[in-house]
Amino acid sequence: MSSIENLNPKKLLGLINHFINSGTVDEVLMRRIASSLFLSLYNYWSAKAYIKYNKRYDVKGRSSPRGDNLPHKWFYKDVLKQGYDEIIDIYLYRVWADHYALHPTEVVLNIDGSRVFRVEIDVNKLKDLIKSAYRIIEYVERY
Amino acid sequence: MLSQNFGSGLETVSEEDVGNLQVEVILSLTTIYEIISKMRKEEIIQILKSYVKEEHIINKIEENVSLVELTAFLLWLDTILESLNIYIADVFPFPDVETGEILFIGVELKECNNRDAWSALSRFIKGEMRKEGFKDLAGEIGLICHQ
Repeated sequence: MSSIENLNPKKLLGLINHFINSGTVDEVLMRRIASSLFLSLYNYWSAKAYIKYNKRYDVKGRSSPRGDNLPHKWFYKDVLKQGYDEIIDIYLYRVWADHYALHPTEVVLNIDGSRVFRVEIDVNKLKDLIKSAYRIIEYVERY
Repeated sequence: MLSQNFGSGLETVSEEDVGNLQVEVILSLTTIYEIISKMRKEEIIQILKSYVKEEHIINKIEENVSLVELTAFLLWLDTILESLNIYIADVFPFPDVETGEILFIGVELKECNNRDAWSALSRFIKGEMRKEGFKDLAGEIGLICHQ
């Protein structure tokens, strides 16, 4: 089994900062960064939660041989409870990066009607998201 | 809004520097919760309608969180945000775009321009909620500051 700290995304963020500082971030890279920020945070939290919850749970009671497929909902609950609500912004950019072709564009959430969030990203916005990601990592490190 | 509904005579619970914002907590969440919990459901829904853009969404919200707790929270949050010139633009169930599952109740804020200050503010608000015993509610609500 891999060590939990192997999933700490700090090294990834260091690499991303290196790309940003070298001025080589194009749209493809920008999208991959936006997507990986969210998922790497979830992966790291997931590994920590797996140990914390004493491996007792499977996702919604479905069969999962090791119980290591933790619901995204739990991740939100945990970070929102602590006030790291900036995860929502990271998520909206992740949705844009993985699901939308245009930039800028509008990310639509459908819930008996729709909510629209305009997405336009540049290096400064990316730096903001990275700052948020560092704050969330520091919380998960203490988890 | 709270003073309109409950009159004046409000006392300041605390004042704190959060990020670079001067945050004033006028009433405790518990106090507001106690007032709301004595109201009839129709009255609570009437208050909620001032925050929720589409009325039919309230049923969906109720499937995920207690309307009494949510309404108390929104009124309490409003008293804090008022002095910061930040306002609540909308309240809605926030879905996972891939599964459609409701992840939390989103509270969309407007004029929360300073991201670092807002980030500190959201931790302050959730910290106050935890201190007052609304830990679970804190995990059910997401403050959205998408600029």
